[in-house]
Amino acid sequence: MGHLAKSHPTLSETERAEVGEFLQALEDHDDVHRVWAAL
Amino acid sequence: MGRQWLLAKREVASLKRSQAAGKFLREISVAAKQGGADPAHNARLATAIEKAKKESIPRDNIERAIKKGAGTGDEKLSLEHVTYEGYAPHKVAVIVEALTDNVNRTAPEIRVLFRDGQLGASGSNKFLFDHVGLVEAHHADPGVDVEAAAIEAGANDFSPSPTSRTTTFRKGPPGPASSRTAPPSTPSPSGWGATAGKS
Repeated sequence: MGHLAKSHPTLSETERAEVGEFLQALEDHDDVHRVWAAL
Repeated sequence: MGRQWLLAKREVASLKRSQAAGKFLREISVAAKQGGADPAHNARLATAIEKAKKESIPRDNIERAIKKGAGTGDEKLSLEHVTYEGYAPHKVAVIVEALTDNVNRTAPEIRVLFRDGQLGASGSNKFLFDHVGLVEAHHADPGVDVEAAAIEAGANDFSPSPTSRTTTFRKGPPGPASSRTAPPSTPSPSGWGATAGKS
């Protein structure tokens, strides 16, 4: 099953990069299987 | 010295999943755990194995991952599926699915990762997401009618990928009595091949 976001906030390029880094750090964690984000 | 590579990553705005082999093996373990160790009866496992083979992962590792998930191998780990919800910076809602053999270790680690954002209580974010079944499929003929295929398969929605020739079919949130509904069946007579079935 998947989780699809119902709404996406509008982000600037720097904000998007920050969030991307955050999600990448989450995904890099050994136990993390999948990450869903409202993006 | 350690953080310089992070600056390079800042320039990359893509949020695709990383290509590390461990991710594919984890997917195989999860699929085997959920649907059994036989790829013939487990569509998710079959696609996971195909993906792993494409990344040239040794067959031994694949088999070990299957055994680990199905619980038939030497390692008697029992993996627990836990979900964490929170927000990334700038109020972006995030759901994290984790597979761990030790929740007490993982929970604080996730909390540390969420220091830039906000970790919420379980269930605080779920309403912001639609819980749906997703099937990715591709068709050799680019001119095929995607909408008709979606209606035939019983999908609620579809979205063609702008980059690859795959299309994602969505099946809406399952009712209370059908929480184990299978993903929409891709109509094989019309030539669609499922690349990823997430059920």
